Amino acid sequence: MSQQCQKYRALLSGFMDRELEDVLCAEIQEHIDKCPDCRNELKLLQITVLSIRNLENPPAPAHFLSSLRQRIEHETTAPAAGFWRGTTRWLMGHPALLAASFSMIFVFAFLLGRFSPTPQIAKTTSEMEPARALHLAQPLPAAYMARANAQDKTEAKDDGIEFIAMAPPAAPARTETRSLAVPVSFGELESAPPEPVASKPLTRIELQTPTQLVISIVRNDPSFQGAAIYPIRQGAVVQTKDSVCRITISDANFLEALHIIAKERSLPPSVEQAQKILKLDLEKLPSPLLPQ
Amino acid sequence: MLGMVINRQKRSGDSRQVGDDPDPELIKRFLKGEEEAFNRLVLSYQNRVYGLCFRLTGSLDEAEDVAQEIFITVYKSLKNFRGDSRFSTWLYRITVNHCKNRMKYLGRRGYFTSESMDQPLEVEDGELARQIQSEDMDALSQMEQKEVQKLVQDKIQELDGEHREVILLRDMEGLSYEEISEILGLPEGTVKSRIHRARLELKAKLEKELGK
Repeated sequence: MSQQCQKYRALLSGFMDRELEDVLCAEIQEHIDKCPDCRNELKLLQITVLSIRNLENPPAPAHFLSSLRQRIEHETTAPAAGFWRGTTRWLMGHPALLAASFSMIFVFAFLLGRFSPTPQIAKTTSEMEPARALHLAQPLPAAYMARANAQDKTEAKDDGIEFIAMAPPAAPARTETRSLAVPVSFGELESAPPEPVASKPLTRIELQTPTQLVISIVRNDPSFQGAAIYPIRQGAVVQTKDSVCRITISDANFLEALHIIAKERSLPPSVEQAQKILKLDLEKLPSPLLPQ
Repeated sequence: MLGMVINRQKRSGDSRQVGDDPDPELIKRFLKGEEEAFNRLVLSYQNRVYGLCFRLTGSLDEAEDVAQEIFITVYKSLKNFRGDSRFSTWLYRITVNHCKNRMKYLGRRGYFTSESMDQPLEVEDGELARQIQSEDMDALSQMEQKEVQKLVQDKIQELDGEHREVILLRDMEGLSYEEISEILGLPEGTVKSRIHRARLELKAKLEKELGK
């Protein structure tokens, strides 16, 4: 193919479409008249164009407008649905982004879990930072203090007992585990000797909740020495070698009990006495260690 | 004169004369709250939009869905139409963009299995890899109309996406280079050369098929 043919062939579409200047069109026409190859090329191009032009487009379906109106109505009344459908379709078209989004969600959930207070529920109150311990300790003692302070002003101005806002002890104290997960193993009982509560100053005793109070009383009772104590709501389940009992105290009795302890400045020496003085509820359960 | 054999033909459904364009009035009425005016716009363009969508996507189902999405876009965006260009040009731009997006989406989902979508026939400097005489192409006229339609549609589908849209806008819709340039946002020179390359590519594919 000559250079001239090459030049004119590149312009054949423009020539067909009458998009070239008249002078150039005349030049091309003159060349085509003389060159059979270029004439053939032009004819092929024309057939190609005609083949497209003769395509018969299918008409839009008869229901096109009505279904369009329905979609418009749906989209305008529920734009959020349209947004989510569009977003979902877009995300489905970008699998890498979809995977990245899920990864981000997992990372975010992990970080949220890592730094949220939820896992710390299993910690003892004393292991928590002071501000948090104070926060957890507030509801009952605050109610109690309002009542107790009014009476104490006349009876004992400075009884040295603090029931609220206790700072955590410097040494790790045996305090209530706030987790309510009760161990299912009833095999070995706790071998660690209980710390006699009465030997401690009362300011060190944590009595913010009924559970803490019950546990303190149980630990103070020599007959429950070596018993396994499982904290429950409003009290504890205590397991000795011979029996299992559930010891609880109601909120009303708990407030009274705090008042009595504040006056007496000591805990009842046994659970039995505490049952009478502080109105503890004691329910004996069959021991899983004994034959039924 | 061979070059003048092909005259621009108006597509079916596009029977309006220049200067008798009812679109601006319909748009004005729609923006005033007359939903009926929008229905009229849809009725006057639905066949062209649907047809172009069918040719661009190669699927009637996709064409209907995309065409409806196009008119929904128009419905929502008509208030932003400033009238700098003709409504039809604006509509074509939306149509092409929607179809491009749908083709990308379908491509990613493995909708297309034809290898030639990704491997267009090589055409260098306007010279075909294989010279075929026009007699081969004349076979087109001897084929059943349905066969021709299917063959041409198949070959259009095999074109490179850029070539497909430009050749359909020019040779099927009969738009001017200037309008195509406005629709695609390309310089007119680029449109011109792209149309030529698209025609050469389609010609080569048809020749290859008919020369078998």
